[in-house]
Amino acid sequence: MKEKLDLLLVDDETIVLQRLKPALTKIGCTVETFGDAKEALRRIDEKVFDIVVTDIMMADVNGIELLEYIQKKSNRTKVIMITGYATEALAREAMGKGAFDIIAKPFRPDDLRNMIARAAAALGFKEKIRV
Amino acid sequence: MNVITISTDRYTKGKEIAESVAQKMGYKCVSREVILSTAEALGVPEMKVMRTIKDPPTILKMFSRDRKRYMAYIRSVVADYMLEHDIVYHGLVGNPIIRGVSHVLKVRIIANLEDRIRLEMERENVSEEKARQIIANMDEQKRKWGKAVYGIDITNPALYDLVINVGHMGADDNQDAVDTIVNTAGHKKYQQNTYSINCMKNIALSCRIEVALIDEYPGIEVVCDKGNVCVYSKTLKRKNQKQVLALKQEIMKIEGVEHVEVFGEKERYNECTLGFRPKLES
Repeated sequence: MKEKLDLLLVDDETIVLQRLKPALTKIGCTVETFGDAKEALRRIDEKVFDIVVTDIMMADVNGIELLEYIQKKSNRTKVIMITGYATEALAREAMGKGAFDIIAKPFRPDDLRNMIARAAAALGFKEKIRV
Repeated sequence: MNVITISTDRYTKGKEIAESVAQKMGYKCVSREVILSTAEALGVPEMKVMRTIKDPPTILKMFSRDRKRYMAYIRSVVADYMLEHDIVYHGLVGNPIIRGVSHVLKVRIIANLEDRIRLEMERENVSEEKARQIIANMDEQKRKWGKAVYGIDITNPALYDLVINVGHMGADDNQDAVDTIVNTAGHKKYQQNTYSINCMKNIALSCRIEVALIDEYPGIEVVCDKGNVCVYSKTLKRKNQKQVLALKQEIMKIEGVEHVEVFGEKERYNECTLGFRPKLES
């Protein structure tokens, strides 16, 4: 079993990446960030991540498309959706397509850390994540 | 916290189906418990609370404090049940309260009108004409109730995820309906998630605040988002700082509340800030 969780963070808002990266590194994740979802797709082709945290409303490739792409590549990767436009329909679409969880922005870093801890537990990383 | 709401009309076998679904899913089937808990909390007879749900409000009674008070308590009890337990809720109140929560499966069960009339004739030993009239009156009362209390037509299929016509199934066989509901509830899109749980928590907190304030401020509307509370009141003037402050302090005492804002009429506020009048789903 690996020591650290490999986590990919995708959001077209730089401020979100800047704020979340240290918060997730602190709990023992190796975090890669992408502001451009197309670049994130290229990275997903190269590497299987344990967890992907992605925004939904993004230009070019949206979070749902990213989710579908990841599902085809690896059914082990847990995908957590974050969105400023959460609705009942969007939550159902994301969960129906295999998202691990979804949360509305704005949220507290602890909320996301808790979701990651649950995803990590589902992957067998239970002892490694310190929330 | 898994929730299935089942809305039915008379003679649609709704209660039996709800109980079978609950048994199969290992959930609690909740219906009359809501009335009992409300009556107990209010210290009033069960029948009085029951009438709040069953009878559509008349023009005069619609604005009665008692009715508003009972409804606020019922909503709060239902919301807390939904937050704390895995339940199948069978009744009228459940569905309108939890609109927008993605993990709640909203089911409506209907039956063929002619079958319902026949059952009414058999049960009450009345003529076909009389039975038809009774069923039509009951359905109309429910529609009126939904319109008066929530501003919606509770028979509108668009409000539900699943509408099952038991008239298309075997006469004494509820199993198809039960299986359909259980299979649908098991779909991934109805899984709980952090967003839907937060929505449910927001609704439950809003209901608790309304209950806490209902005696003093019967006309208020409360919307919560993760401890942030917006209170809309037609009667409360923002200029009356003393009154607004007292209201805020009252709300801040409630567990889970972190911040409170008080506004005038909701639509007026939305028009000013958002520049449009929100269209209510109906």
